Amino acid sequence: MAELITAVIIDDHPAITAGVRAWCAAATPPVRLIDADGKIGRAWTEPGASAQVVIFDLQLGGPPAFRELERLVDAGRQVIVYSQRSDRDTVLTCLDLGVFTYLTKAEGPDHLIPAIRAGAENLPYTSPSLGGAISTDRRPSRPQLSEREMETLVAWFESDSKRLVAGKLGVSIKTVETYIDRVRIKYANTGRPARTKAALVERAIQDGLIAMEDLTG
Amino acid sequence: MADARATMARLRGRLRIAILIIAGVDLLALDLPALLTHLDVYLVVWPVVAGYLTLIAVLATEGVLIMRGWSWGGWRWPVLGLTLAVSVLVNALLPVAEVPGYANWAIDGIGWVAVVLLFDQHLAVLLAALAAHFATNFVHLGLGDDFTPLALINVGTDVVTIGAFQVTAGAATWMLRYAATSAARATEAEEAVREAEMIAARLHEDRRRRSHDLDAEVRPLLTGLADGELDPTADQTRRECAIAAARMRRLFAEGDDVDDRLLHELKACVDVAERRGVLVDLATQGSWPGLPREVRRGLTEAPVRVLSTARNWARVTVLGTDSSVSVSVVADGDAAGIPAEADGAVMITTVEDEDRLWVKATWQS
Repeated sequence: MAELITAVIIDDHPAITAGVRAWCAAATPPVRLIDADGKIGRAWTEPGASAQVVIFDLQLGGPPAFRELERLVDAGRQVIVYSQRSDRDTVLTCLDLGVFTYLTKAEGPDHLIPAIRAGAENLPYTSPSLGGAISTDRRPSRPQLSEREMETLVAWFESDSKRLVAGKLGVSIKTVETYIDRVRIKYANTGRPARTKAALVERAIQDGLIAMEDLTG
Repeated sequence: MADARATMARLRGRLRIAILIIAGVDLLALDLPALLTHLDVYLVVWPVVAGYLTLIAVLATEGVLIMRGWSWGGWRWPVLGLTLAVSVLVNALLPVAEVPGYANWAIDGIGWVAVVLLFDQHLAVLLAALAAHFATNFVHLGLGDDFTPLALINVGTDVVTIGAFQVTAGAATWMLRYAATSAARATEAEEAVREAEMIAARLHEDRRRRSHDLDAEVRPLLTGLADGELDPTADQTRRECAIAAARMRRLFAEGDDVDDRLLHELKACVDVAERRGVLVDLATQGSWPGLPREVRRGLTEAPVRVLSTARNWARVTVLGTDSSVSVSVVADGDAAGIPAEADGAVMITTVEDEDRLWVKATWQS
């Protein structure tokens, strides 16, 4: 049997931790969850230090902890930000720092569990909230997205269903996934360099998701 | 209000000019000849001439202040003191016998300068200053050896005739200022009443419109329920009631004073669905401008229908981009009665699959 994926959750709300623990236990195969009890330090010491994925509540009773987030990313950790906040600037800042993905707390097990699995495997995962933030990105530094990619992203944010997106745009679900993932890779290829971003891009090129020309062009 | 203030400022400026002209003519046409023809009378000449020039300097300063639209401010009091000092000085250098005569040019000159300086003060201040000035003449007369009832009567006559002019001028400016202030206040009050009437009329119109909308919407439903035409247990009736309830909430929300009307009205509809036990996830992204009521209605109408027919869950999103605003609802509802196009130039798209319905309303700016 393959080894279980381990994740560490840093969140100061016990109810959230309990909920995520229940989702992890109910998943097949289950995910092993370590509770850091809202203390970032526990992500740096065992057993948290060797967890494959870090689930990070951006606001631990204060302003957004961007610096701590940056340190985790710089150490090569796969961080899933799991936050109450959904405003574009916060989401895009986290993405720039090199987080693996961003989920809002309204996004439940349907997104968190697949995101944890994707994180452990270095495969991109874009939640509808992250898609929404990217679709309204107006910064000059943003990567160039095709019209089709933009439509897909908007529809993904609105419907939270790849099947509905596929039905609306008249393409297959696989195509929808490809568009969404390509956008994520384009974002991993811009802004502040991070080891996690490089790993994501490398894996995407290996898998043939995106070509080198798409990223440099 | 601003108009009334501007009128008042203009009136004050003109009054100041009028008073300055009177004072200037008095000092130049009456007092200067009197001074020049009696130079040999004063005990020492130059301080008297200096006193005269001081008064002229005060009037010149007043001219500059009027042009700049400035007031004397706190400087008025030392200058008034200086003016009264000139009054004392001229009296001191004047032989007692000349107090009732032409050589005593300062007896009227000082008063006019006081009227200029105390232009925007209470009338009582001017009266006190004039009284102090005239008192120096009487004191001088009383201290002298040549005190006679005739001299007293002469000075008294001077004081009464001169003082009467000056007090009248001061009183006139005071009353004009009072009238201008009352007029400005009356205008302000009138404008406030007009504004209140306008707001009331608009509120009334708004309420009338909403009551009309409600009538068309709810009356048939209530009448149907009352006379038994509609079956309260029927799904169709329940759906219509849910839609009417959501629309009513939106209608009430339309009158609220909030920053983001679109989101506010949408939340009102979400609220109704949540009360029915529907789990609603509301997400927004981007920004949108303040939209007119028709556009907001167009954007919310179709989503409201879907929300009202949702059985268990719904996802509501609002997305604002540079050129468009869209409201989208995905829910486990049915597509019956969803219009293809809403009012207010809003485009509606509908996508259905096995268990869910997705309706999106988009407004292009």
